[in-house]
Amino acid sequence: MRILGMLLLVAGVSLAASFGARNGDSHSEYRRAIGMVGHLQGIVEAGNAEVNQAKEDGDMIALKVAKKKVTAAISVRDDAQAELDALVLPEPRQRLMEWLQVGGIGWGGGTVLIAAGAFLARREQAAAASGATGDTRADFPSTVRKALEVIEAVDAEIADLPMDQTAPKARDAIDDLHDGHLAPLVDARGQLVARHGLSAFALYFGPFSGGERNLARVWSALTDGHVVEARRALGRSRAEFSNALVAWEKAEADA
Amino acid sequence: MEQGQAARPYHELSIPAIVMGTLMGVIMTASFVYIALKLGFGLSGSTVAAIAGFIVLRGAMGRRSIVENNVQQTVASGINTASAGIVFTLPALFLMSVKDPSLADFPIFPLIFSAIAGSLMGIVLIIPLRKQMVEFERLKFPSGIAVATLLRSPGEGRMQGMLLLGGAGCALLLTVLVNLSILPEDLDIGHLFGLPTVVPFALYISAANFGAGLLSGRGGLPFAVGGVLAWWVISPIAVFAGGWVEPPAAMPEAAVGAWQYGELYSQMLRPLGIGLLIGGALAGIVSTLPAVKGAMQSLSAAAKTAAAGGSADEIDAKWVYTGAVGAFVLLFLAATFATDDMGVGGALLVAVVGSVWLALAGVIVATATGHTDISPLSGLALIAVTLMFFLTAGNVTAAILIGVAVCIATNQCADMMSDLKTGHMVGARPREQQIAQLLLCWIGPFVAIGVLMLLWNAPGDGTPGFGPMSTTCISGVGDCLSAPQAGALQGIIEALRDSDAAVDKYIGGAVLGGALSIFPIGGVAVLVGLAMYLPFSITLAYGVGCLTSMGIERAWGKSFIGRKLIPFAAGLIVGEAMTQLVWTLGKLTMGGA
Repeated sequence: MRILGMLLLVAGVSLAASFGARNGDSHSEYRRAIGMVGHLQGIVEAGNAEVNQAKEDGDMIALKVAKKKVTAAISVRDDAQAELDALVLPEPRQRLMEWLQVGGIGWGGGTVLIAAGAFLARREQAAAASGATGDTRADFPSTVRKALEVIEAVDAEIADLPMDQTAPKARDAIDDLHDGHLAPLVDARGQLVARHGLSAFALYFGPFSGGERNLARVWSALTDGHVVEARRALGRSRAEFSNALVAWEKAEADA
Repeated sequence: MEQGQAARPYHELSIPAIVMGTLMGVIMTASFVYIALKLGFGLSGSTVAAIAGFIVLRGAMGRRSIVENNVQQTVASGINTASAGIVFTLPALFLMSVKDPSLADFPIFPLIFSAIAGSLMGIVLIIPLRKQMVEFERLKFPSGIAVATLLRSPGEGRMQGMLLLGGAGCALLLTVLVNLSILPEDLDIGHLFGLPTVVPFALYISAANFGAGLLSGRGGLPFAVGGVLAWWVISPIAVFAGGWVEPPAAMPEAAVGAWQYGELYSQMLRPLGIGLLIGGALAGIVSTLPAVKGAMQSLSAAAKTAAAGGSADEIDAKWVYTGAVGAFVLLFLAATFATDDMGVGGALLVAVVGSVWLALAGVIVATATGHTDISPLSGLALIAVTLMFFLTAGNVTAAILIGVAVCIATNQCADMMSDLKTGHMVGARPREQQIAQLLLCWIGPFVAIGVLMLLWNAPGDGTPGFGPMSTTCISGVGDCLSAPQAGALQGIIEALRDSDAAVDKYIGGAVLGGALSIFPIGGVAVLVGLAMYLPFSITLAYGVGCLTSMGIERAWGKSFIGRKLIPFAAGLIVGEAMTQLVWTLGKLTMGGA
């Protein structure tokens, strides 16, 4: 199901964007005329460079040949410019309608494929959130409880620490908690959104993030040797994680 | 006093941080305006400011506070956002006034109002989106991670420090080799295998771009896939299967490939990419409205907590509303007084549409930067000017003045969200960063506009400048500032006067972007749109970074990424930014360009 959803996404984007990028007939013709004038202008400029070079070298024969070439190139460019001036740039409305004529079906079909792929992918995500697919579930309460355990351990570690101490063991414990528990839960948060919806998710994930940020503050304050601020931030982190747990339980009850 | 200990304050939003940040911001804005006028690209100030903070705050003043340095770099980079915002837009008006003298007499106050409105609006827009983008969506903001890694470096182990320095060293080497043209800017692999021009296969040689890919990992993959689809699927379909990019009949065979490539990129994929960005951002806003509503409620709750004597982490919602109203009024005044023929109704329409577009563009840029570190600023400024051009019935002055606001605001959005990401990682209180930004957002526009006017009015004695009196520009030698980005905008405005806007691609792309947003992959529409908007070599090299990161994670696990790869990748970003800055300043000082 997941692979089918992704295949539909890739096919849909390829189809819709290919046709979406296509230009209508009048606009294509206009661009071709601009392209031709630009190309011929390049030839004129290259010819002028040859003229200047021949002048610098004092090579009169080369100068004559180069001047002749430039004159011919200018004449061809002016003809192309006249053709371009005769064309009328399509108005925005006409441009839109002409694009729909040449690309509308492919673009619309591709968009439908994308929507179908999205439907399948969302269904897959909802199944993963309920554990039906056997994927690893994001275990929010266990992670938060683990965070609270580490907070207690860090608290004990720095409780009697004097100012200007940097408590490397406590900082390592915070790093380990982040890498081993908090970061994996953050990576799997899509399952939580699918399970509770964005509004309910925000109610418990907001305090969770606040707890995480305050733990980072504990780390910074300890690095700076400010144990008092580290203790304050640790208290706030504990409160935020506890609030997150309460909000999670409410979301579970409402689910 | 706590538990018998004398507690010195833990500095965060402090006078030294604000003074140092403001000084750094003013210096960077003035110099980056000059650099952007000369070379056509802006520079990010966060890494420079963070390093300066280490030297002054931590080194010279002995102030040990990671979060204080974070406020300092937030202030400095926030002020500097005005430099790119002004340079990419305003010089177009100056340049056009040479041919059309009626444009020369634009009033200065509406310009300043517009610039400050943009700066303020960018900030108040980002505040309620912080929770959504930084906490819920967990956008990467590679530069934000790099700055956080830099700020945290005093507490990291020896190994992490070595990796950070190692990454910076690699970036230095690579950047110098590219700048000396020993290595090409694009490694053209396709050319070696004889691939056609319309199926490009080149890698952009940039340590920062590769580093951003490493930091994004799996999350950045849709960006690379979007590029692959655009250039290895859509391009061959359009050219070989569909025959939709038919060259002019008289064009010689040798010139056809380059012409088709140019048409595919500038006339088809790039405008479609802009449409996708718009559609993706619109759908993103709609889908995250519940979370934004929740964020505003949490701002109000924070105010109540603070009023009850507690400690609020977020700024009070009433300041957000006041800032938004203030910015809107400034924008309205700017539109009203931009030209003599602008009525109140017209000015109101311009202010409303300008604000709506500004909000949308801000979300697009913040999302794109959050995923990839790359900002589609110039494309969004172009749409802003296009919108205003049509709304004001071809009033160039009004269109560019509102374009200035949009460009500054979008830049401000990306920068501030990146700073808030840094703050999240170092444990800063968002409120302190938000207050600092709100208080000082007016400084950047004044400095940037002042420097720009100075350079426009440069006397004809060989002084660097880009104005009509500048002898260096008239003679074509010496220190002429060519203002390439503004020159491009000037070209676009002139095309708009001929009614040449890619409405079909914008609409088609926007619908496609909306459909893609239904997919449960974060930011997929913006990423695919950005991939079509940018040259493929950048996207591909970034994708190589993502794949490398995924391979490393598979081989050595997630903790290896956190402990080893992130410091190294941050070093790549910081190293390239610093090398490029020193290189550019050195080159300008020695009179080359």
